Amino acid sequence: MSMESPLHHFELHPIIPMSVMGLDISINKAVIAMWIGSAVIFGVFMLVVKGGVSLIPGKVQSLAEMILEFIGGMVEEFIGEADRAKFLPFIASLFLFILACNLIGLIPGSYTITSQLVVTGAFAVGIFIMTLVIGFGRHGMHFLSVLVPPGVPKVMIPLMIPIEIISMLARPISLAVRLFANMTAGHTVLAVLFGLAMSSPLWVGWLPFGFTVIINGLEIAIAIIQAYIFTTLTCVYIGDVIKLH
Amino acid sequence: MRNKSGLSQGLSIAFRFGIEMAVAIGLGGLMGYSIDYFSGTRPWFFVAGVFLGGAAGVLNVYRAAQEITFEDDDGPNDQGDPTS
Amino acid sequence: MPQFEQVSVFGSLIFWSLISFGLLFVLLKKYAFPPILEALEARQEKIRSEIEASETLKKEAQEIKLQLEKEFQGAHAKAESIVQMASNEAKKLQEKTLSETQAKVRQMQADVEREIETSRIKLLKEIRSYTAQLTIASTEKFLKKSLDEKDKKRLADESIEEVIREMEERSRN
Repeated sequence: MSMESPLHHFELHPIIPMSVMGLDISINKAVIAMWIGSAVIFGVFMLVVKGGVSLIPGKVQSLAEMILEFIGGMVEEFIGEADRAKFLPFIASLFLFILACNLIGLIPGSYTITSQLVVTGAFAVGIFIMTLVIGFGRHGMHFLSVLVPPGVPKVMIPLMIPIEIISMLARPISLAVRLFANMTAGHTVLAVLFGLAMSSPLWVGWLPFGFTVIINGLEIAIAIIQAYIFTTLTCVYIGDVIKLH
Repeated sequence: MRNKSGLSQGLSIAFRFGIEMAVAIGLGGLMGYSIDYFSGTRPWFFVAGVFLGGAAGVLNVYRAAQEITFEDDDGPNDQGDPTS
Repeated sequence: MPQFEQVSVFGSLIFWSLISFGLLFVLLKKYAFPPILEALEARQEKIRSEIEASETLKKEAQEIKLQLEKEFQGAHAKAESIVQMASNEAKKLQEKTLSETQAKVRQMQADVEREIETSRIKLLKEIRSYTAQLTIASTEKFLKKSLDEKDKKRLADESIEEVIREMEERSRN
């Protein structure tokens, strides 16, 4: 048996072929993994709610509350206390969704949908459009002044506007690329190590297998950190267009 | 909760800056290249785009760093224990 | 990399991920978050009020403790004084009883002595009168002559002295 390419497991094959208006929306492994992750998140939260939200929390309720408190603190810090209630559900859902997608992919045989650049890109672009909508909604045409940083000499403005445009556009791209790259890299390393462990004899194969276990632990940390960074930066971007310098 | 541990903060900084810079340069270059492609002025806009992208990347990294120093400034006040 | 080459799955991935996220967002926002956030707020409120209440309770307890300590100290002092008083009383009582008993004993002694004395005097008087008569009668008879009053008296006295001396000697022996 020849060793598979470590990137091979990123390939997707339709499980339930489907198409709407010429668009292929076949359901594949990535989509199913994402659904399972989302269902787990929703299930856990509904478990808390259905079990009766008590003043003295149980373990699951404490966890749910801790996440919400944590994200509430983030929203307060980067967007502002006044908008906490408005943005908390969205930011918390975003965090939980990405966290679930990142973590569900660590189960062997599963798939990390956030290792697809188009998915992270779609979210980043969506968030970017959202920030534009919020910016224009709050400040009207005055929002365009975001392209001119305060304290810039008039001569520099023609130079600063393209720089600011690039800087603005680079944000969603870096947001998308960061998540995608981290998820892909981690999974590629895991795939390589696992392939090594499987293809080498047992007396040496335990070594990469041990590394697989260690790196899997590291990957859990990275999955959480990346979900956190993605959410934090979303908050920062929304906060920037609300505060406008 | 808001006072993250040093490790996670350092990791988040490390993950952010490199990609921030690379993406900005790449985007600037790509925008310049596409202008060149349609107007046939290759390679001038591409070169300018790379430089502008670099500037934008520096700007983004600068802003990100500013946020972090602000967090650091707030840190000791929140913690009330500068030795830890 | 398949993530760039497998263009055919992009549509499905983008479509489903956005739809799923939208659905998750709506469901969480509608059903999951409000009760939990409410609970959080309620807890915070409760904690705040409870901390305040406990603060006042603590202050009250402190006051009560101080008061109790004061009272305790007072009671202790009182008890000590009562014990002191009682022991004083007891001592006094004891002394009094002792002295009374002694006095009684002394009194009794004195009474007895006096009684003895009176009875002795009475006895002596009786003896004296009896002896006087006896002496006078016997002397009259013996001398057959009457004596004048002066002699009578001297004679009676002499014989009385004699009798008493004799009696005393006898009683001494």
